[in-house]
Amino acid sequence: MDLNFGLTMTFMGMGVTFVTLLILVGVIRLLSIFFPYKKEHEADKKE
Amino acid sequence: MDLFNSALQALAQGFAAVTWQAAVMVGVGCALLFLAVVKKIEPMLLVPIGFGIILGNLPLANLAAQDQGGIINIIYNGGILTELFPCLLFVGLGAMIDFGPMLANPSVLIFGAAGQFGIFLTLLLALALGFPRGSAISIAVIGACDGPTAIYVASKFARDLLPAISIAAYSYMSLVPIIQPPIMRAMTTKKERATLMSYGEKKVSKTVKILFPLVCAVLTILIAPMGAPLMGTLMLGNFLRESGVVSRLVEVSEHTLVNIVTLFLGLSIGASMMGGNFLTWKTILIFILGAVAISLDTVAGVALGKLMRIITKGKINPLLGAAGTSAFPMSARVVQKEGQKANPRSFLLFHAVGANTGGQIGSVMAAAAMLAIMAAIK
Repeated sequence: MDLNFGLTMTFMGMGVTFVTLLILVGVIRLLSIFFPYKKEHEADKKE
Repeated sequence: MDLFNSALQALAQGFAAVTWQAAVMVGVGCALLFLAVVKKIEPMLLVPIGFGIILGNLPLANLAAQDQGGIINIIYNGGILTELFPCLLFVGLGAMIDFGPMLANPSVLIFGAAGQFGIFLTLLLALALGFPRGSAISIAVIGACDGPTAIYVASKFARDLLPAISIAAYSYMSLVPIIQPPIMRAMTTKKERATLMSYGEKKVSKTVKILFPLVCAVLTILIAPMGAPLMGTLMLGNFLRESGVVSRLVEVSEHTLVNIVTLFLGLSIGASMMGGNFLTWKTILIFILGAVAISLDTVAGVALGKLMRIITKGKINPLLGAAGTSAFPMSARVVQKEGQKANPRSFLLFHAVGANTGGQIGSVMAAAAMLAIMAAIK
């Protein structure tokens, strides 16, 4: 069995997937802080 | 008289050339057509695949995907071997998906990572069973519950297994409502399944919805450039949808484009399923490993759900973890149904759809990571 390859792929693959999604969670939170829904809604009302 | 005999021989050639494998495959094609037409199971896919199998296995017709110069061979070479079809499907898929529920509650995106765990454990299993690296990766990606991704990876690394892998990937997507519930019930108590989650549909600003596909594409492609065609096209489709200025392109992407590509994809994959290379033990192993992968995805997702329930002191229903696969929207519906069985007041759909779209991103990311690592190892 190609154990080295399998374990490398498992740890790296799962790790990269998990870390990327964690970063995305952070990015989404930042985007929501910079562009909140409420503000946009209020702007519409003012118009 | 000689002319008559020659004509008769020419007309009998087709019948004489039928092999038992071809006859069995024609039977398989008819069975798929029966399931699609009579039982209404995945007709959009099974009709072109079933008909493709019949056409491809009829001798001397030059309609098998491997018959050089035949019309299906042209479609197969141009759409599957070039990896074009999965990417076009992703444009349509992106145009269909509303990431709103996930953007409103981004924590559920983590379930999209847990939902890919089965892929990697199945990779180890496939390697243990003696499959070479490329084949093992392609089989494992069935666990992504994502047909286009499975086809994309298999067309890169295991073209000989492509028919079996694509059939397994699409079959298991539709079998999610049968595979997942017993695992979900076995791993959770009724009290855990009955956990109520706050239901207040948080609103997300239009700007966030527009920026997300762009930021997600740039970030993930920088991390794993080998997955760029998949993530790039998925996010392009979603950007078209959220931009709100190209409704005609969205309309074409989510309907016409997806329908045309599904027809050609199904037909050419069906026509590539030749008796000689499909009726083997490998095919049976691929189907077993695919089921194992999806089951393990569910196990890992629910286990993470249980952990998050403990961390959040009972605010998360562990069933949500099962929606971390990219079988969209089947997994989300299964979670909603199981949650309501345990507690009729429970309404998990909004959160489950968020986790499910997270699973879509997670599966593409997992495949992209595998492609990137494979490229680095080579």
